[in-house]
Amino acid sequence: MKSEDLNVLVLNCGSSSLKYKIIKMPEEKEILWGEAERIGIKTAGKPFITHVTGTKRRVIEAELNSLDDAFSKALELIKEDTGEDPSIYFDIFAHRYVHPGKFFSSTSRILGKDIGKLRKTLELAPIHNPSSFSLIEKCSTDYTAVPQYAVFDTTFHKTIPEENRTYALPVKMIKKYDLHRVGFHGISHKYVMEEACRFLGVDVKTQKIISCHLGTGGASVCAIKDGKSIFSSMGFTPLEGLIMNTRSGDLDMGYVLNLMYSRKLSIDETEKILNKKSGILGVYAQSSDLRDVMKNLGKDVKADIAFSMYIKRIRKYLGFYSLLLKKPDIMIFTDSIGISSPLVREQACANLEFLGIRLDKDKNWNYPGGIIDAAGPESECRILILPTNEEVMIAREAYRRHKNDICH
Amino acid sequence: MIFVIETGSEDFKIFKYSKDENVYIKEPVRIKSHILRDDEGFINRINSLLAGSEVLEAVSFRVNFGGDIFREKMLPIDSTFKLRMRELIRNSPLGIPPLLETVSAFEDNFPELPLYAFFETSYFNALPDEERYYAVPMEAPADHDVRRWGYHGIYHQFNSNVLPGEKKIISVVLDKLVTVCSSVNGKPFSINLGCTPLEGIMGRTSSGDLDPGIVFYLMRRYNYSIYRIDTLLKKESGFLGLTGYDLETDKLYELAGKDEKTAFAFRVFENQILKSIGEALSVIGGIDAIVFCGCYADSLKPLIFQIIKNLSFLGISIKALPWPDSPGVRDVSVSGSAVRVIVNSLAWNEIVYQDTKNITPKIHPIHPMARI
Repeated sequence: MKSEDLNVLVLNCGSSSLKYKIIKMPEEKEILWGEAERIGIKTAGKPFITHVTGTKRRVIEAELNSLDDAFSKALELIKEDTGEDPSIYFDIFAHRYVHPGKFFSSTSRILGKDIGKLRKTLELAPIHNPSSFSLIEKCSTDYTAVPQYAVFDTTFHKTIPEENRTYALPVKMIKKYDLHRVGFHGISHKYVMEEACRFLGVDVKTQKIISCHLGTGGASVCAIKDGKSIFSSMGFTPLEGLIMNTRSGDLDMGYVLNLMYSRKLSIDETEKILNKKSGILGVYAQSSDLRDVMKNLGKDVKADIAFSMYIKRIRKYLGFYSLLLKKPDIMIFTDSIGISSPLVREQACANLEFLGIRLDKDKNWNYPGGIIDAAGPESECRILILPTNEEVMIAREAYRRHKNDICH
Repeated sequence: MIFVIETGSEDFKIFKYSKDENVYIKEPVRIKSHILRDDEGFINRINSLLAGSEVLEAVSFRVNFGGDIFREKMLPIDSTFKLRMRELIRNSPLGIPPLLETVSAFEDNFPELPLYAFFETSYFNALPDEERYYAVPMEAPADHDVRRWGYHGIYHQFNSNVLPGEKKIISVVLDKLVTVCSSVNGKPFSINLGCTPLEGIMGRTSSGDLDPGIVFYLMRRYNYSIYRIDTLLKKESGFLGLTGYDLETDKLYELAGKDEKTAFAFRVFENQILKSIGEALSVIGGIDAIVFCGCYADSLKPLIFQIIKNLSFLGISIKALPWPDSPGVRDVSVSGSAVRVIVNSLAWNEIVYQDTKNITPKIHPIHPMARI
């Protein structure tokens, strides 16, 4: 083992799931991974953990009433693996943390004094922050000897220029409450940016990139110039921007006021409509999954409208970002929908030749997996299909920071 | 003489046009609304606007909202007009009643006079469905009003036909509200202002587009009431919020070179306009012309110039400032430009006047005094 080798246990919490992965750095070798699902929710199926070490895959049903339960079970499984193979262990924890507010601006080692700061950020991302916070708190009490790092979704967007991140609100209020476009999915956007430039053999500091992170749940588009984020479709919260599975994305604020004003809905009711009942679900009504919508194209008018709206919103950001960047050099499609749906990619890129964007039909429809350039021969813009790997990016960030901490 | 009228809650404005001489008085005559309830006073006031032998041949009204009932840009006002407009009052509770009161005054006191309605929203009834609707649930009956109605249809429809032939056009109205519309062959494909005037680009005191999450955050964390939020977004934001100055856009623009806050606010504004243009561009997949108009189109020429500079990679090139002042529609792009850049100095009321003039020549003028 070389002195700089380090095993990072990456923890990535969702509202009812926990993804974990041990990654050996700096070679970025995945030693094991797992995911606990259906944590603390009532569904037809029981909670379970998928745990994979090398070629050995186990799916274990377990009572996972809380994130604590899931984390304890995951550590138990890792300990069993260590018993069989001593090379399976971890040196540091690396947590994905969505929104640190004004308290942290870059990947940070979390010490006892930082717990209070993080506690003040829970309302900024009510779906994600409380889960991550509870794990960080647990690690800081149960594993005092293991350094833990938080890697933030918002850090990559700290470079968004002032005129792009400012809402037209009273200045005093903007400053007092820190009401700016924050941007999310930064870990993924940064990962695909680095991988795309590595794949194409170009210097990230010279490239103009549009990154489309199209997940089945959240989705965002990011404009990147010379390695820096200059716009994110998600704003102060992950509600703004693209149409998502149950989130409206961009919306007339007059409508939002009308819901509360005229229909006398509470904050919770209104927020629930926009976060849980809108987006694909709001238009299509039968499902929130874009893949269900696509199965019914041409057969159901609502499916046709929902799909057209979803695509049109992506295209609007592509048009805007093309002006911001004065023509992109690279466009990236990533995450589940971005990778698995050639129709989405085709429709998003259609008729954008005047912006230098030309997709190759065969390459797009016959994507073999991995990283490919699906641009046509006359395209001025490289169009990459590139699976994201947030866990690797989290490990990279934590590793860089840890090395830096040790050196200083 | 033709009158073009814009009604408001406290008064109405009359733009006077002499049909034969093609002359109009730029500044409108403002008349307090209470006169509408005094028949004799109203008739005398209207007659006082006509000199000597002038006769009033037609009156056209600007109608800010026509819903999906009024699908044509222009409509001769007939006996069913008011009845149908009343169905839309829930959508425009402050705008429609004063309009109907003014129309009634003309109908009652000048019964032979041709009256026309010109709608600001009708053009957008032709929007594609995916542009018309928002990604929100359509469950309650009131949800069916949640659609992009658009605005500035009079300007955008005019601009969409500014070039002959089949064209892709982006129209930018720089007025008290700023709107951006894309069209192909005269048909609209996108508009950035929708269900209410709050959507889109920031205004003098209105925020424009905003993450709805901000509202929830302020209400939950800092106990803002919905009334406080309403005032905040409509009356305290926009240019006023960013600069502290409550000024007309053209007056504020004069400060941009001297005041950093104002300069910054205009950078945000420019960025928002660029966003809307980029969105429009990708919706129609290209561009043959971009047209700027509205009451600030002339005073914001340097801003237009800067916006077009950002589009130069599309092969657009424009003449250096200053552009010669000339009324009407003028092309400010250079001859080799891949895209025409047009500044349309016609005001909405002039467009309405031109249209009214074109449809009234055969109508025998009625002297308003005839009724008395």
